[in-house]
Amino acid sequence: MKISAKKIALIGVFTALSLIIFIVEAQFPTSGIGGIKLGLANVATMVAMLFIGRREAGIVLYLRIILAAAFYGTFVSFLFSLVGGTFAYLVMCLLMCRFDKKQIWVVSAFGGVFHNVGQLIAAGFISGTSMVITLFPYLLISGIVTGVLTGLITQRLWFSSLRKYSLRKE
Amino acid sequence: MKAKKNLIWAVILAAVCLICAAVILYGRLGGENPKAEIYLGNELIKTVDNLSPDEEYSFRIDCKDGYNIVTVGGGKIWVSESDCANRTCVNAGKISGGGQTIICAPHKLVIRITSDSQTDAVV
Repeated sequence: MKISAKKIALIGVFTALSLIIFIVEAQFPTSGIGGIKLGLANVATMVAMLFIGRREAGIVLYLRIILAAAFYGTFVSFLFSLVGGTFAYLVMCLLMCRFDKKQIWVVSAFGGVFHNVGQLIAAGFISGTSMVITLFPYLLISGIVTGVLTGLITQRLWFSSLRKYSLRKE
Repeated sequence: MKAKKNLIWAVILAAVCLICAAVILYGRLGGENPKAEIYLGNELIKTVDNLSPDEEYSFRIDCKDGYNIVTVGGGKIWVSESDCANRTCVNAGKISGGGQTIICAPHKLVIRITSDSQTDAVV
């Protein structure tokens, strides 16, 4: 795999951004059911997907998850991030190229929902009970709302002057 | 055409949110005599019949990985303290209505509210 210096630099920048956003966001107390939060770090993953590519976005995502766990989290939070992140990443990989750039917010909403579905499955496995399913309607709503918000931010960044740093032209 | 696509997706996503909100609200309806059931690894270990005692009280639940302190008072129940890994249970706050659930995944602890009229309405 040939990888250009420019790509490596961008991956580094997005990973650093994502990690900082993630750690800052983790300082705020998560409110309410199931530890719902905005998931702003996903903006960096999505912008990386748009600016560099799917595979590179995956590198940004998994580096961020591993580094966040090393700096900050616990094994359980690492597991939750890993499962939720993988679900969101896979669904966004599938959808991103099939949707118009003006519908990034829809792709992001799907990402948010699948992130939460993944975390719910992880919670089910860790707790060994199917009662976690009672959280499903809450997590579906929060996945859509937070996904749309982070998606709109991503869309705003794509349609901004920042796009001149993008390695993908379309 | 593109604006139309946006609108269609907005309607679909809003509809899903509304359906979920309806399910949540339905679960909270008809809550006569709410009770809290406390499960440890799928096993019902304790039922709190009165969520409005004269004085707030707490009790400790030990499991093989640690403990949770559960507090009852003012028609609500909540996890006030835990030594679990992520504190999602403590941050979940106080619950009082039917179908509401607090889950401490690392400790396999589940607290859920049921009431007389509907024990399993929300699945």
